[in-house]
Amino acid sequence: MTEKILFIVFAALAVAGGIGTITRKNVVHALLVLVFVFLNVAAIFFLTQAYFLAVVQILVYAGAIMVLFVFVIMLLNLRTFEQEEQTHRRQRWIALALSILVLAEFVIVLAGITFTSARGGFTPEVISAAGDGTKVFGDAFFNNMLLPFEVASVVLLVAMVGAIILVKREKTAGATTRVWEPGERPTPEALEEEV
Amino acid sequence: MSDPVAQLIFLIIKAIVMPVLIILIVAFAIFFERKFAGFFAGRVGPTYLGPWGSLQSFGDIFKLISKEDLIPAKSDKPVFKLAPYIAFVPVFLVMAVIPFGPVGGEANLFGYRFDYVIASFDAGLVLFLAMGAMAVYGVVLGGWSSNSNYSLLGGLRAGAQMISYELAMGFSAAGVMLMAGSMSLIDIVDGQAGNFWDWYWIPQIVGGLVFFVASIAELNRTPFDLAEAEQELVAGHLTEYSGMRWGMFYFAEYVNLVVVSMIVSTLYLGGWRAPLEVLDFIPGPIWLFLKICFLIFVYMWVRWTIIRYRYNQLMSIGWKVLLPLSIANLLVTAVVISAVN
Repeated sequence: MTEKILFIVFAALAVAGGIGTITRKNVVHALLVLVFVFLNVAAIFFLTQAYFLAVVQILVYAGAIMVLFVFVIMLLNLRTFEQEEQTHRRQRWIALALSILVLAEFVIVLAGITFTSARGGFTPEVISAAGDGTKVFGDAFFNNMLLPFEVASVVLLVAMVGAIILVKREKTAGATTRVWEPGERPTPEALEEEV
Repeated sequence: MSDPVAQLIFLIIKAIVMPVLIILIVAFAIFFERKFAGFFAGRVGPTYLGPWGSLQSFGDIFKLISKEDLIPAKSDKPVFKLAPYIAFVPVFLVMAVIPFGPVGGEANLFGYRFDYVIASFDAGLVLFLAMGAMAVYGVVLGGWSSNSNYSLLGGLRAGAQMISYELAMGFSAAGVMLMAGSMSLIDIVDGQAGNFWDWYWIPQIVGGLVFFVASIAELNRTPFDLAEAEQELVAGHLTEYSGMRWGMFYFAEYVNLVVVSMIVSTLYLGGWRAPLEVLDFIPGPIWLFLKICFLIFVYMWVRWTIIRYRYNQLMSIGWKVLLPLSIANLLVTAVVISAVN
């Protein structure tokens, strides 16, 4: 009973946070609310006694990915979405149609699910018999799911290398870095040239 | 009284007593920091309030509380107000998973079983890493919301630094996970049963040193305190903060110091275990306390001895020295363990 009440509380907070994320004009506020959503999802994982998954949810999503998002947005000093809104006006109707499609999919998949039917094979009893939740995860990853796991890591590696290649600035041919003599003071024009 | 009721009462008592004790340790850690700063610089440090100046921290707290709460007009007010709490809360959460005595076993208190840990949790070490990652938000958002260049630069530096050193920290902690065969801090302490040469600091000496250096960076202390390098950035992310909001950041830093000392002693120095088995009659919390005091002293010693690194030095230490070392340590540990088994 307590679990059900807590689940409803955290789920409601997560949904509220999700709505908050897409309605904030300020980018950093939107990201903060999204972190709040991740924390609530982690709390739901805690309720199902998947402690490792809950903590990894915080570590990876809230701790690593969102910090990088915040970082980039702070570097660019973006404050509001207003400019973007003007440029992407035509996409609005396509986005609406697509999101209705996704919503319909979710409703169809989730319609038949109740609290008990959503339970898979890993009940708390099974997990405590196997040792702890972390061990169950490890077994699943490195025995039954080894191929998808490796494929996912290769895909991530490709994405990483791709990101590095895309943002790496090629040096123009013949350009050399200027060596400054000790005590020499750069003039504004010289600095402008170097940039 | 049935056992679940007794466990609930114990839980509430532990959840109240432990933060209060740590706050007391923090108050004296701040005092000793100032005293040691004085000694290392050939001064005497605070002397006026209380015997030997020992009540200085309480004077500081009253001063901070009575100061005016100043919020810059052009700051992002909700985030500016929220940031100190974000810095503060994750640090306290980690306390719940650190064992300060034996867990499980026979009934040991009035016929009930008293576990010397608030939450027995199978991924405690990962929780510590995750909460370290969450604490970045406090610093970064504090710097951003102040809407000042010094603050923004300080926040960015702190963010970049914490992200880079977290990797080395996680990899070196993974060596301990392999040795103990578990991510639970309780199991890690159990794996170090015996005398002080059975602790993980000998087989994991490389990982331990990497973890220690990375933890200094996580704590934002000299030589890695570039986020608030006062010669360049006034006070970095703290520039616009005053009064108790500043106090909360400062306080969170010291609570983090105590918590990280607890984690380092749990991972590498046997946690609550006595250095020799014949000394087991002295209770675990006392040994943990002594180890915390020792580690806090080492952190202060480093802080007041080594000067601050430049930003590029900081980055090259993190990525070119600590990260390869910690990965090598993890590989060697994994190979040795699988060879032994």
